[in-house]
Amino acid sequence: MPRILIVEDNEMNRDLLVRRLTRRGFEVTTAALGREALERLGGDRPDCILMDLSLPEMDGLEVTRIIRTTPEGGTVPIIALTAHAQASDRERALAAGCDDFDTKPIDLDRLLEKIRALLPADAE
Amino acid sequence: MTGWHKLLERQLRRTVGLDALTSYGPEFERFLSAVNEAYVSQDEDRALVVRSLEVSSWELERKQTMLQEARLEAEAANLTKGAFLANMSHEMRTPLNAIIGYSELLIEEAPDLQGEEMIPDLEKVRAAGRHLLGLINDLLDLAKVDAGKLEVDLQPVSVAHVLGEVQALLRPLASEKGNTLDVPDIPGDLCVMADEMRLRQVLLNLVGNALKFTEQGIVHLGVGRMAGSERVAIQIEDSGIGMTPEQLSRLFRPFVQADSSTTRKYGGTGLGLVISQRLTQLMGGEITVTSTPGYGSCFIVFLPEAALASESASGAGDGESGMVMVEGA
Repeated sequence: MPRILIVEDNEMNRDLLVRRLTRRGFEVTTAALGREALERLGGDRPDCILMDLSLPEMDGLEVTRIIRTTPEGGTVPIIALTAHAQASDRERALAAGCDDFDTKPIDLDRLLEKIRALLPADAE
Repeated sequence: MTGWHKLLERQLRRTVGLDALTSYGPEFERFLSAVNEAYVSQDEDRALVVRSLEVSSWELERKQTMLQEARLEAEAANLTKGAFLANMSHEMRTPLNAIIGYSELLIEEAPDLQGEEMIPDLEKVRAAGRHLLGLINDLLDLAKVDAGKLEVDLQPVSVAHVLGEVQALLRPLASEKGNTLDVPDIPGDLCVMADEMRLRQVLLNLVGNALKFTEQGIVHLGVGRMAGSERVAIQIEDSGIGMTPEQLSRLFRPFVQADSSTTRKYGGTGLGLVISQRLTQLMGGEITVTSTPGYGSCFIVFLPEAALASESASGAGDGESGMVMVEGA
């Protein structure tokens, strides 16, 4: 079962994603802050990370940059999620090390397509 | 006697001669006083004119300062309005996303909870939420365009690809109104320089409008290269209700639908066309429209052709003037 780590500070958004992805057979873990996400990385060993970009304290771009320097997070697929739909946000996310980018409100089918495209073959 | 009176007397006595003047006696004195009086009154008039000119110019200056201040205030107010709209739109979207998200979740979970009969109502909540979100997005876009803060990311975009997406998204609306959405085969290499997301938004708006204002009719899309101008034309033609010249003249103004009764019948904010026109202009193009009441409307989106496709483009438009349309069946 593919494991997904959701990094999102808004409780309702987190709850929605957890429940909808769990229904579709994913094993979901969560972190509300960037620091928490970095702590969970080694233990959870996610196959994919959904990263909200506007996190308090350390924003999603910074968390992504740090994850990319760690041994367990060097290649894990990261999809940035943001309510800002500007072209420059996408470029910034990709430059920080994200593999893809999606906008809120979440269109679940579109997000699932992006997740599946990035999952390693053995995660299914 | 005034100084001027004395000066005149002295001058006359010197040139004409004292004796000659004295012989005129009192008459000369009266003449001198009359001249003096006229001079004094002219002097007063002049002073009056000068003073009133001074007052007018002071008033003008004051008014100019007031206008300047009013202009600065208006500019500041417009910026505040833009920032307010942008912040409010963002703040409104957060709870709205929860409303849409949870209604979607409940629609998914309803069958497991033996609650299928709730699904139609949940779908209404979701549809209303999505509608409200659309309105908020429109307001935000307009505020951004007004504040000059809307960015466009210009890349070569395949016209066939974007029109394919638009067609897929609007098929349900077309069949709901009994309309045929007629899309031609478009060469895959035909590209425009555009922001893909914004181009999709413009075309969804125009094709969506065409379908909305047409019943049991045809909405025909055409795409062509403009010979000699390196521009691509995307045409959206409907057999709908059409517009009068008066309605056409109000078309691209914010919050004004061609007719206020259309808002009640067809919904919408009247913002879609304004935003579409401004987005197209930001991408270096324009939208034109022609219409006949009762027969339908025709919108054309002109955009610069992407250089990428120019090699294969040269064959299509050579030696012809006007638009080379790639027609559908």
